[in-house]
Amino acid sequence: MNKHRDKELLEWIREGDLQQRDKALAVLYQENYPLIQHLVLQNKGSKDEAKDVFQDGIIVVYNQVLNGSFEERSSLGTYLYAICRRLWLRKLTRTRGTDDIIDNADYVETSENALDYLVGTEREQCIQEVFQQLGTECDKLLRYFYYEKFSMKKIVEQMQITNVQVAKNKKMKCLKRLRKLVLESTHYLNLLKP
Amino acid sequence: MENTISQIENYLNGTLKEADRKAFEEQLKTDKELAKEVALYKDMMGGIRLHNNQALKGKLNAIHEKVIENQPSEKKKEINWKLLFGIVLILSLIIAAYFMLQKEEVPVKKVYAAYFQPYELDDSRGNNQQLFEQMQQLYEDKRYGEFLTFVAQDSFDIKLPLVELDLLKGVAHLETGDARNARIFFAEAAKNPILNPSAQWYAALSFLRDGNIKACKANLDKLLSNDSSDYDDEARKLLLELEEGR
Repeated sequence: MNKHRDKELLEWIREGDLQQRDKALAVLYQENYPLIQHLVLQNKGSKDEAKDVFQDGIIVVYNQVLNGSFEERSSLGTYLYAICRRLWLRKLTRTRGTDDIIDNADYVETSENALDYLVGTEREQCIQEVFQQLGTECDKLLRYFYYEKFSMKKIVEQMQITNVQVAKNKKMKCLKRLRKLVLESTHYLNLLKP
Repeated sequence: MENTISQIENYLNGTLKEADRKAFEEQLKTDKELAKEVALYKDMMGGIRLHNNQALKGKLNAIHEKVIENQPSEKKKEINWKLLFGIVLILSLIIAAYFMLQKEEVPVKKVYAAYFQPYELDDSRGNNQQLFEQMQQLYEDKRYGEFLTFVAQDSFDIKLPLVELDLLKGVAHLETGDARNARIFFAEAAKNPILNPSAQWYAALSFLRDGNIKACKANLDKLLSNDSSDYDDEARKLLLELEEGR
């Protein structure tokens, strides 16, 4: 993937609306999946495992681009490969007791911490379950603001809310509702006990 | 509660001022409830992340189905997408321009003409009968340009209640195509409680004439939300027409 293309994809993810972000994901997918599939199949894995590893890799990279921690020291494709490689290596070590990987592609060093985006504490997992009770509008609003990092103006456009102030008020209401649901969750309250 | 949540957000985002951050950290050391709220907030953010990861996984599965599983569609990559995009863009612009012209010309002018009636001037106002009659003639003959020139003269010394004259000037400006100036006079006229409904009605019509449907509707809403007036029926009818896009 060339630099110009990378720049475009990064811009779509950081500044774009949902459609542009989806487009960036589709491009990343199409252009990088074959190499990851080859890596996994060549190293004792299946097509399903290749798909899982690749999708987890994209989630990590997507999170890092949105959070500003993707440093652009390598191309997106190279970095994605490195993340997927680390993910597959971890799985190989845990499930097949080996850390030998055969590959010929260039990769950059990545930190194990990068994979933290994929996992959560038990309490966080409990809150994820609570989302089902939240309703579609609140679900979207909270994800768009806190995860996708959309500005309120963009959220107003994406969700066709009247104006920024109304969106801000809705966001606060949704957050309070989520808080209430979490504090009513027996599962969560049990996890709080020392 | 909202203040607490905002404060926690600002603290965790690093956007609190230095002094406030230090004060918050001091408070955290002793205020167990606040510490619990911060922990809960962090858990919620983590939960949102995991939830969105799950939603993202769903999207990626759909992409996988489309892009990887349906291999024959790869042949479509040979299409010159840039050229196709260019053609679609030009066609879209042409179609959009056509509809915009259609939309601008027909409904707005037609609707405005259907609803506009000049403000009716009461007879025999003011202290100078002759001046009043001259002014009235010009206005009723719809010689609005001459009307505006006439009332702008220094010799036009007539003690009409001033705000009514503002309404007439507004109508004259509106009918001579100067909606912006018209609205200045309507705003002045609106300060008089008796003339306020008329001023609001004409202000709404001035926005309609400019093609600013949104502002027209906002003025009509405002007119209808005030005490009832002679314009209410017309305002409701116009609002309905604009909302139905007729």
